[in-house]
Amino acid sequence: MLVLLLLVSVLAFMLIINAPIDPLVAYIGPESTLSTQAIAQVEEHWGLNQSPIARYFIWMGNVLQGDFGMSMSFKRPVINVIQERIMYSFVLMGLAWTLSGVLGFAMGIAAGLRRGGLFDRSVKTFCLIVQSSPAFWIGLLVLSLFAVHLGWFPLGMAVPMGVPAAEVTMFHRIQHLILPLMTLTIVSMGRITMFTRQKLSEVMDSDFITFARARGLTEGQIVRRHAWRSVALPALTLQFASFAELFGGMALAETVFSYPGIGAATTAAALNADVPLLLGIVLITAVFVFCGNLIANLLYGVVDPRLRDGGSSA
Amino acid sequence: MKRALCLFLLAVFALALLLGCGGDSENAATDSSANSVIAYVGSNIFDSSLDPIKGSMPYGYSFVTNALLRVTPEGSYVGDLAYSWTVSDDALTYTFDLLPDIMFSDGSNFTAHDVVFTYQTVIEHQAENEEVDLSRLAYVTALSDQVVEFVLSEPYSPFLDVTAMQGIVSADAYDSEAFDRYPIGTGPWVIAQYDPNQQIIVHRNHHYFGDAPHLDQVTLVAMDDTTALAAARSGQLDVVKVNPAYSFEDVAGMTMVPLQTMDVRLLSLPVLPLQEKEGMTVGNDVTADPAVRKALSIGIDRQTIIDNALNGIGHPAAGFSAKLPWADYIPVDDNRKDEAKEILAAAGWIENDDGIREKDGLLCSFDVYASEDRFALVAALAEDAAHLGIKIVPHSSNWGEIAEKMHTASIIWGWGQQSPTVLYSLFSGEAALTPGGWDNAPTYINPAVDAKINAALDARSQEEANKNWIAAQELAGKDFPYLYLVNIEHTYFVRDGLDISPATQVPHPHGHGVPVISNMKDWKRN
Repeated sequence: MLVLLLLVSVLAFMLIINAPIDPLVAYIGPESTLSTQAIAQVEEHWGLNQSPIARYFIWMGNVLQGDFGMSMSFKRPVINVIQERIMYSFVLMGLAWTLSGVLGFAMGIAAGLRRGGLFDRSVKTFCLIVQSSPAFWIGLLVLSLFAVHLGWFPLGMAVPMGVPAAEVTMFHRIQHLILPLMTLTIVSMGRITMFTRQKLSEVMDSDFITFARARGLTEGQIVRRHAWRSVALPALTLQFASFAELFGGMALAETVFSYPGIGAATTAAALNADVPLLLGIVLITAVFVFCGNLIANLLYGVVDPRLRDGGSSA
Repeated sequence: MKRALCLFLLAVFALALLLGCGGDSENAATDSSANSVIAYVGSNIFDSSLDPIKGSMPYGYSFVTNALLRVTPEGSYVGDLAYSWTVSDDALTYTFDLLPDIMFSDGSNFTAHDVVFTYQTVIEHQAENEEVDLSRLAYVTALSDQVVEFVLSEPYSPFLDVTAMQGIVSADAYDSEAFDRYPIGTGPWVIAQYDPNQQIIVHRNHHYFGDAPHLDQVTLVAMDDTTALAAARSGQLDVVKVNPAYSFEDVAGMTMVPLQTMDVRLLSLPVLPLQEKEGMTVGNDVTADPAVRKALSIGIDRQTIIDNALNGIGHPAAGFSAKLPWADYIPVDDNRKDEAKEILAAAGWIENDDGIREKDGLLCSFDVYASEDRFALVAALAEDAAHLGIKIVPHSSNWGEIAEKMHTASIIWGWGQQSPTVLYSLFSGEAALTPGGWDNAPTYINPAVDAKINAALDARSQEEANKNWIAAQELAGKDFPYLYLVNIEHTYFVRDGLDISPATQVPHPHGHGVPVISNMKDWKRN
């Protein structure tokens, strides 16, 4: 885990250093008349005049002491910026993850049962479209349909516009959550649906299902008593392993809906070459994705005893 | 299974409908509170601190804080917190007399000590303020509660611009972290609520010493630029910043308002032939020919370029905006294609079979690097310049690449600020050949221009400074190191019935978005 974080941070740092945005340029603005003295002070203060390797080690040293540094754009400690946003993202991601898992699984089963049927074909088309289109675009579609044309939901943000914090209710929060949630769910549903559909038809062709059919069970009974178990395990694994994509989708969904989570902060940090904030977010994301994959691996062992002997080398 | 799924989907749909209906009445409720406004003015304001000590709102107009001076819509300086000021004969000492009986939004009194505190804190933390440059300020003292004195280490006439940009905060209340979101100043507005990356709600400051704002509450919301047009259509917003490209879209209940800026778009044209100079590679063999630079300036048709690239929004420009007192305003007299062609032919540039001019085997062609948002403008220019036989190759680029190419290729710049220090950056020979920074891209070195610039910097009065700034531009203008294209306008959709008082808007500085709030206290519902 520590080795992983180290590698991730080195890689992220190298990527940012080589990105076509100079942090100094991003900080003082591309067209600035700041005197060379003042620019030198800026470089000195943010350590931009040091070599990339020195900068990395200074940052690493501070992180080991629990100090993630200051965000260059927000001019606040990175840890504060992340803290006040992470709950929004966790709620959004957690719900989207669960919803896309449940809905995707259900749709996959339904489609897989009658392969080639009308429902199957429409599900397939839907999934292929969703999987190949950018989250950002889907977000814009959802926004213009539900918030602008139909006017059912607010345009964005997590609270109503112009309303004092004391008057914001749970109802408001849920209402503001729905469109980003819908977007993220749709975006992450395609994979699990297609997977379940494929897996189910494989299982339905296997010997033990043929035997069950021979015993006179209906298709519904077969799915409920036998097939779904065989499909659920790999589906669950896939869902846990998809944390990384979920995170990417979230960054875009949050940006479209100005949802104040960690994803929107990521885009802002990247555009402003805010290295400390970006690295902080990368580390948190890495932990998160790592946990997802770890859970997936552990689940294998727990649910399928065959994998436990020497197999659970997670 | 299928029935369960159907039931589930039905439940989700019902829930959505239920919440949706609630949403409708909610929006109606916000709209009916007539004396508040919801505005999208870009998201930059959410990506940085609101503390003027850290460089917030450095534009010379009052929002939450006031500066000592402020800019008028005509572009001159008048007192804001100060009512009069004097500059010593050696141009080193600036003395400001402050208005009495001014209170901060928390009810405490404003005195000269708050001014001293603000400036001293900026000096101590200069690196956290990328907007206001106090490196020439030796010290600042309070001579009394009502008089503050600044002493400079060297004469520097743009210091007066600094005093119009730097907002003053309360010394007693100052808290570096709290002021990032809730700064306490003397301005017409006070931050009532700050929701990071979502909205900033401001209320009227009851202690404001000037005319009270007409509106009770303004909410500035965060949004993505690409969703701004959709947001305008939703009818939930009163002011929406839009790109000129969308400005002719129909939005029910809203009207597009273009606002004056002091922002110009101009191309730097390297004046030296390609060479190594003081360890830097500078120059471009094509743009080094003065005939090419002059032919472009008089030969292109700026209005057509603006029509094609900016939907016709903006004014053709051959220099800085007349709204700036230090600008050498030159009326545009272009599209003189025949005259331009004669100049080129006389200089030996002859059209080849492809319609592109050549001289001794050198093609009359050069690269222009543009940040993504300015690419359309360069493409439109290239199309027009082709009529003169000059081939311009536009590149959509980023600032990292532009920094590499800026001395050997043409770059499109956007400059618009109240302070004439931009002229030093553009024309000073001293600033040429300094690695890093954005100064003097064309490597234009002219001792006569430098003398005027230095005279302007050392000037004792604004009149004297402006006279020298104008003279410097006149001299440099003869050599065409820059090709001015357009004085842009900033476009906003504004809800019918809301008056954002275009007459009291200061010409907007560089950066489409926030400057529209410069006169927010004059906004009113009709």
